[in-house]
Amino acid sequence: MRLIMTPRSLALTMVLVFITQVVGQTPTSDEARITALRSNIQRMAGNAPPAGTSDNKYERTVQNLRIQLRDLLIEKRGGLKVRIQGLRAPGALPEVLAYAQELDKELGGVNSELQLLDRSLGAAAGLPPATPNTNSADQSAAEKAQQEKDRAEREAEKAEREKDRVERANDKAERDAAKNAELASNTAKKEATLAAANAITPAELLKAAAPKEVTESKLPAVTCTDGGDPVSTGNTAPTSYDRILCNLAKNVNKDDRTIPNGEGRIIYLAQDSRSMFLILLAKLLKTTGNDSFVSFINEAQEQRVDQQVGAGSGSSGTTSLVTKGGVPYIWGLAVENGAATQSQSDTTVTFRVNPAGAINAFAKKGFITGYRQDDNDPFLKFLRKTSLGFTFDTSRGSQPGVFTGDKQQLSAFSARFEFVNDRNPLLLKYEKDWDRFNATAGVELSKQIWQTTQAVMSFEVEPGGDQMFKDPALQSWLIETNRRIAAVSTALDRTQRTTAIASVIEEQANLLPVKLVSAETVQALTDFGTQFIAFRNKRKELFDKIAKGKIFTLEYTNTRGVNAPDLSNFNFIAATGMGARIDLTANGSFTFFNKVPAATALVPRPGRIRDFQFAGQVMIPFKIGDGQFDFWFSGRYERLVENASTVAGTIVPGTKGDIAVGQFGLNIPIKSLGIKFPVSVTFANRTELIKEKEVRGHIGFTFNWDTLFSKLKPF
Amino acid sequence: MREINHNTLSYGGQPGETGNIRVEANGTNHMVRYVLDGVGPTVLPTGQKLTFKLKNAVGGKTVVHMDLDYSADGTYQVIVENVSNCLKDTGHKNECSHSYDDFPDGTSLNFSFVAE
Repeated sequence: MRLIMTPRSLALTMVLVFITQVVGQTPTSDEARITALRSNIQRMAGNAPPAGTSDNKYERTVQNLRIQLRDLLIEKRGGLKVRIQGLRAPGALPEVLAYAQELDKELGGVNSELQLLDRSLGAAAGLPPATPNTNSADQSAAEKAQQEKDRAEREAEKAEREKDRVERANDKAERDAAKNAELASNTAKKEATLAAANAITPAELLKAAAPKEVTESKLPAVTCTDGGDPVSTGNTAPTSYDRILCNLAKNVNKDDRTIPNGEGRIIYLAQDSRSMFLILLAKLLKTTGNDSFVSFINEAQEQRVDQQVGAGSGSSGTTSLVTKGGVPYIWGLAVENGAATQSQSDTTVTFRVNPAGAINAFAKKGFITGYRQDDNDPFLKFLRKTSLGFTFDTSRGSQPGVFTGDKQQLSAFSARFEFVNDRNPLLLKYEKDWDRFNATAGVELSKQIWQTTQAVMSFEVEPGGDQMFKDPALQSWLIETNRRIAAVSTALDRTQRTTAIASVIEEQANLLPVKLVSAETVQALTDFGTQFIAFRNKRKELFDKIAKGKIFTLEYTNTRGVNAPDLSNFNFIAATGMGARIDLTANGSFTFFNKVPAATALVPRPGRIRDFQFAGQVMIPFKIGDGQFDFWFSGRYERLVENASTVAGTIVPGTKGDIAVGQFGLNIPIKSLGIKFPVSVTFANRTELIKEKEVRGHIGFTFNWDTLFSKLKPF
Repeated sequence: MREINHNTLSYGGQPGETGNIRVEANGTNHMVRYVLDGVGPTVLPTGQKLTFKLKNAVGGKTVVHMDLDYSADGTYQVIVENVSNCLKDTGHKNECSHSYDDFPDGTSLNFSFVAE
């Protein structure tokens, strides 16, 4: 028969051979061979030749089987020893050690079998002795020594493990003891402070307060919005102290503070320490006579002065000679009476709207959130630089003197584009300045706040507990304050509750036990106040720098006459700042006829250009109380290239020429509401129609929705 | 990490466990400094987390003092990460968030992290 090997069958055969060889080398195969050898040696012994006869073949066969078995057992013994050593390495778990013990027993059996084999082989003369152990006595001694060594090692390992266990137990006991000691210490310190605080009776606290006449504010009680802003009461603008009270009350009243275990909305030093320091500063130092801190606490906030809310300088009814470069982000409203440059003195109502701001407002986006999101949208970013204005003359229309807002009263329409406006503190260009400020003045402030915190407050409380004032008198006062805050009715709405909490804090602040507060506490708070003022002053410098940012705007205004020709005006507006927040604004503009009027018997047909103008304004903000007033003076030169027209549309001959106008005025604010009352006086060498000197007064009302919206919905 | 008391900014964790606090500013420039166990103050730059290890000894307390200041009327979110039981974990991200808008006076916070 002919065997034909295809390439495929040849490869299969080679694989099978390879597998057979590999499997043959496995320990499983050795065990099988050992078993087979044992069985065959027993079979040979069971079929030995009769006693007294000699069978060399038999003897050689048996001896050969024994030698094979001995060699395999020696290999097995070596393998077992390596495994046992590996299993008993440091860190072995009890289960592993138990398994090693099993192997150890197996090793003992192998050794015993080897001893028997060696004896049998030694008895057979002329046959090769066992290679590893030529002398069974020596081998036995060596095995014994090895076993003894292994046992000793096991004992040492056991002792080591026991030592580790004891050390771990001791460490745990020490840690537990330290923890218990710390808890006990903290509890003891807390209880000591609380005991000292509780030992001060309400009567003693009251007695330790400064006299009512000294501590109580002479200003009306503060009223807060639910957003934490103080509200003006009557003619009095809220102070910064009011703002701090309202802000703390807002934080206390946050939903964030209500947790299921029944804790209410109270003051937590972990979160409210800065507000508390400022309130303590105001009250403690007011009574110790350092007036600089009081004035600091009562300082006013800053306001922007670059925004044009009312009509532009060319409109009838405007109160201003100069048009500002900036406009409100969302919308503004102005009602003005008078005429800065025209003969006709009317009452006008102007609406200004920023399309991007209005879109965001209608989309219910917050003031800041909306502004920031515009940065990522090229279209909204463009729109943000634009604004539209609509001016209505209330003397026009079917109901003169009544604002109807209809087309007949629409006296001017304007559109503007801001090429440059560097007066926003959030602009990316100021980021480095803020980072530097944070790394210098900010770090100095933090250093001081931490020092004051350590001096005034104790962190030695049980886990989860709030920090405490170290001064028992202050802690007692805080406990009483929180007790009263927690008692504020939950039936009140959010705004009422915020105001009620602010009222409690203010009443309690007036009852601060100044006579019991330690000198160290007063000193720590004074140091905080000093650093805080330095920080605020540095920040003000940065705000001043931003307030001097440049503005460049182009505005187009279309003025609609009732009978007079319609006019178009292009006004280039530039602004910058100098010194301490002085705002400089310059205008340059020209006006042309939309449709050139026809010639009359008295007046020839005029040219397209009607006039050109230059104007400048210096605005100086200053503070009275917490309110920011703006004083300004300005001048304007106008060259009438063509004769002026009356309202009826009649061109008055001989009115060409130069007009010079001066003005000074004052913006009177109502803080936080975005309302201002501009009052101004204008004096001119002539008006457009009458060549006689003239002095006029103007008064207006402007409302900048930005201010209110940023408070009501900042995000 | 677990929240012990949301109002007192108290947290507990394993000895040696890593704590992470991140701060997100919105509508203000990021002006954050911290003092870690009395060491500092250190500026926490925008986008970086404050990372620290809890004490190795059980009962040991790590105090993180943090100051937030404002360049404009914006808000800060201060978020403690990897907190399993936060009551205010509205995003279900195992995070504890605290919100602050204290322009212009600023905010000072005192966190406590206890090894348990």
